[in-house]
Amino acid sequence: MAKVMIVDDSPFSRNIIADALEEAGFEVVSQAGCLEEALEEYSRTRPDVITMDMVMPGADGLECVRALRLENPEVKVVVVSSMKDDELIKEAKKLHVAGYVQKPVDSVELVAAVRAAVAPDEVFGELDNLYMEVFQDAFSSGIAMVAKTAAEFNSQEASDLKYTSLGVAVVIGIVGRYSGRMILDLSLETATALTKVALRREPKNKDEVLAMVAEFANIISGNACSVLNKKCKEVRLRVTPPSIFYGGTPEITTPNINKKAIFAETAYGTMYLNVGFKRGAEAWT
Amino acid sequence: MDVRVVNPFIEAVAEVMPQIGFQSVVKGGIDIKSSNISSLGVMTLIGVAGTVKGNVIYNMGLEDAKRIASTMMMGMPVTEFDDMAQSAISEMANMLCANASIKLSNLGINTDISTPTLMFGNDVSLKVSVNKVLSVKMVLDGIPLSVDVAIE
Repeated sequence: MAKVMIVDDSPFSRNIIADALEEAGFEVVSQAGCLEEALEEYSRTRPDVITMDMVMPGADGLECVRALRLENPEVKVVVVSSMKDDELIKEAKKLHVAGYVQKPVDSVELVAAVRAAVAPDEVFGELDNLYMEVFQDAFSSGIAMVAKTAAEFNSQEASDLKYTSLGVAVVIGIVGRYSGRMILDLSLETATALTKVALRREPKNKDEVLAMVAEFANIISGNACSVLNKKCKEVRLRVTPPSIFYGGTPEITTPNINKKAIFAETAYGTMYLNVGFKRGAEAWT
Repeated sequence: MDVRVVNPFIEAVAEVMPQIGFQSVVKGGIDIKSSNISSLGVMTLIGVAGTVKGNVIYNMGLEDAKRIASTMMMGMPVTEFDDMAQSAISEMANMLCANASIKLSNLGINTDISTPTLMFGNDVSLKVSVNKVLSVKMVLDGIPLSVDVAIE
């Protein structure tokens, strides 16, 4: 298991952090209360990751990170601080710290951040294993809620990267530790039928249909990302406003990301859900 | 829409494109469009979340997209808008948006960007979530590129 050093001027905070990490199986190899101790303990114990307080007497956390980087430019740091304002976040991002946890420390969040710092690919693997099932659940609930109908799902082979739109494609961007996007695609006929059921009347025009489909996609992506944030603490996903391609039958693709897709066969026609995330940790938020 | 939010996207084109092979970057006119944007052939869409949110669209003709991809690949001829060319255009959009996001953070506006989605086809429109879209025409070595900022 990974070795951790804790830098914090408060012995109380150090104990809390150490307990949480040791309980999760990390080995806390050293603790330091100031810059000088941090440098000394770092060279003595060579930890894999360091938790760093921001506000300390003497040199602050940012100065400590800079000093430690002179020892090892690759050193991985998770900030654990009661302060989390825009200025500190900006400075911490400039120093490419691996995570930022606010005090009072939530042990689950802390452990997730340290784990992600040590093995970012492991967190991606967890997300990658989970996300399509979660999106399918949200898709299924969404269809049941809006269309009052069940759907039959078929997975699409991951090898088929590109696809041709059925006519209406709602694209929702995803940001967080990993960035990605969700596309919900269906024909205008299916979209119109769905809108009619949801509104219990004929839609007035195409704009109303597009707005309904956008909201439908918004619900699916929002619900799925909330569930993923609970199951996979460090990903912190958020969605961006929906945009809708419509009119022709264009080809749609997102190069260089891992994608998965499912088809839902419903009483109103086929719907297609394509979700993908980019490997490689983006900046934490 | 706050013009302060749009400028970083224009500046990003001026700063990034010369780094990926373009000699001249000229800013053309600015238009205000409605929430329905007609595709010029190839659209690359990126979602933005944070203090401000919405979408940014890089909109260009198919032939122009091939010429941009070709310049990015150091002049290698691009006859088909194939996987390589699509990847180049997608990466261009990503670089432009990431650069603009950093410029926004320097103004105290924090944003995160999604991965780009690339669409190509005829007679396609894009409906965005805001009512007004600021569309800036940029010209790269004579190639037009429309930067549509739908953020509020």
